[in-house]
Amino acid sequence: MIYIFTALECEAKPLRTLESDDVKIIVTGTGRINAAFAVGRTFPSGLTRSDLKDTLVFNIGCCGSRELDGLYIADKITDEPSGKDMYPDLQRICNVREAQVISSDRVNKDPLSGILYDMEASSFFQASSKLISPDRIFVLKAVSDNGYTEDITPSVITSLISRHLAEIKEITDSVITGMTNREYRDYEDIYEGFHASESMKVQIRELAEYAYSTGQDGRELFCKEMNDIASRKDGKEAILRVRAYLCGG
Amino acid sequence: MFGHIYVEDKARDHAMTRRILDRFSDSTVIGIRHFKDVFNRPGQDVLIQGKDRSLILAVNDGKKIFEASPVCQDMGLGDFFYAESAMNCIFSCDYCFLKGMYGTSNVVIFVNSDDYLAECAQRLDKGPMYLCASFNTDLGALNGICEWQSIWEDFAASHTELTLELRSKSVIHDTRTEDNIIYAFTLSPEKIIKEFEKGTPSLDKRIESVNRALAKGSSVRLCFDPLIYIKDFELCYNEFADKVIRDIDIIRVRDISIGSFRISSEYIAALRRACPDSSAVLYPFEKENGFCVYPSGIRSRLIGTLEKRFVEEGFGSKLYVMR
Repeated sequence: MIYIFTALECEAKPLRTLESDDVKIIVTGTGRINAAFAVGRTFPSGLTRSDLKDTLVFNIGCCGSRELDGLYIADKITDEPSGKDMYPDLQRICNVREAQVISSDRVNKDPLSGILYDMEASSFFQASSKLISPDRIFVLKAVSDNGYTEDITPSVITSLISRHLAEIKEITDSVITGMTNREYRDYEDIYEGFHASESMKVQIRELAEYAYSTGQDGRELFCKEMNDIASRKDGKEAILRVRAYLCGG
Repeated sequence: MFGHIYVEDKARDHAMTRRILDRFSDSTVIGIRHFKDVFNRPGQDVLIQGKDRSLILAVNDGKKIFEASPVCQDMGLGDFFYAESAMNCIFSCDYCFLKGMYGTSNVVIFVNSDDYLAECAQRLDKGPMYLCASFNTDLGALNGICEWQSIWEDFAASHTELTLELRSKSVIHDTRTEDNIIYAFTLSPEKIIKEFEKGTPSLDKRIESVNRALAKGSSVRLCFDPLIYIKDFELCYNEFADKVIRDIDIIRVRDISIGSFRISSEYIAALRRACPDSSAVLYPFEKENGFCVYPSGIRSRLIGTLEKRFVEEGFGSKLYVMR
C-alpha cells in the first residue's frame, strides 16, 4: 500500500491519476502539525511496524530554494524549530537528485544555498518513522520559488507537480517493483491436528520454517504425521520425530 | 561501493576522513551531528540496506577498548580485550552476530585513531594485553577503504607487550612478521561459504592468503568458527579438513580455534529478521545461559568431526576448542 501525503489540494490534483486501490492520496493541510496529524490519523494507534511492513509513504509537494530547480528527493531532513535531523534510507531510489530539506513554520526569505525549504517534511518523516522503516519513507519536493511566494498561485503549483508527474510515477513504480512480499505460512490446521498447546505451536512453526529454509516442505513434514495423532501426547511425540529428522537428533 | 557517506561534523577534518572521501569521490556525502543519528535509527531494514550499504565516518568520544565476552576464546592469552575501531562489516554472513546486535547494515569507521592508540597504551601500562582489533568488523575487508589494519600493526610492532589479533575472511596480501601480531583466518567449507557467507572470498582464496602469510613467516591462526549444522555436515567438514590439511602446512600454524555457532539470545530475533530464509539462523536452537546454541549432541559431533581429524594428524596441541 502506498500513501501519498500532500499539503495542498492543488499539489494532490495531478497526483490523483496515480490513485488506485493500492495508492491513496491524503491532503494534510499546510504546516508541520497538520502533516503529523494526518499521518497519525492514517495509521491509528494499535498498528505495529510489522502491520505496516509493506507500506510505503511519500510526502510530495512544492518547496523553496535559493538556486535549485526541478524535482528532488530528501536525503536529510531538518526540523528547524527543534534542530533535529532525520535521514531517509534511499536504497530503493535511483536517478533522482538528492538534497537536504529544512522544514519550518514560516516561509524562509533568506534561504541557504543548496537547501530546499518546506513546511511539512520533518513532521511527516518523524510521525511516519514511528511505524515505518526509513527505507520506506520518501520526501519528494519540486522547487516552486526562491522564498518570494507572491506569484505562487494554486494553478502554478498544480502545473509544477504536473510537469514532474512522469518522474514521480517512475519513482513510485520503481519502489513498488523493488518490494518483495514475504509469503506468510499458516499452520492453524496443523496446530489443530496436533492438539497443540501454545508452546507446541511455537515449536511447530519454528521447525516448519527451518524446514523451508533447508529446501523442504515444512507443512508436508507435519501433515504426514497427522494421521497418527489422537491426543496432545501423540502430537508431542510427532514433534520430536520431526525435530530428530530435521535437526540431527 | 557506498552510495552515501555520512560524515560527523567533528570527523570532517580528520586525515582519515579526507583520505576515505578522496577514495569515494562518487558517493553522496551527507553531514551529520552524531553517528548514532543514522546508525541507531529504529526499525531499519537490514536486508534492503545490505544491497547498498552506507558508510558513516565518526569520532568515538567514548570508550574504545572493551573486555571481551566469556563466549569468546582467549586462546590462553589471558586479559582479552577488543577494540571498536569500526562497527559492522561489509560482508554479509547470514549467521553474523553483528546483524543481530546493530540492527543496521551500515558501517561506521571511527577516524580518531590516535585516541584509540592512546587508550590502548594506557591499558598496557597495567600489564600485557591480548587485543582483538577486528572484532565488531572485518578490518581486512576494510583495507581498501581505511588504514586501520596497518595502524594497529604499526602500534603492535612497537608495543611487544600487546598481542594483537587481526581476524578476517578477506584476502590479505601483506602481513607483518612480528610474533605478537596474529593473523587469524576464518576458514569454512566452500559449501558453507556459498550458502551463508555471501560476498566473502572463496576457500581457495583464503587458503592462498594463509599460505602467503605462512611463507612470509607471519604468525597465523586458523579459525574454524562458527561451525554450521547442515544435513550432511560430517561429510562436508571431513572433506574440508582433508583440503585444509592437504593445502596448508599446519606445522607452521600458530594455533587453531574451533567453535560451533552460538549467539546471545538477545540477538537471535533480529538476526532471523535480517536473514528470514537462512537455515543457519532458523535452526531451532536451545537456550543455554543466555545463548542460543545447538543441542549438545550436535555441538559435540560438529566440533568432534574437525577436532578428531586434527588430533589424528598430530596437531592436538594447537587446538583451542570452544565447547
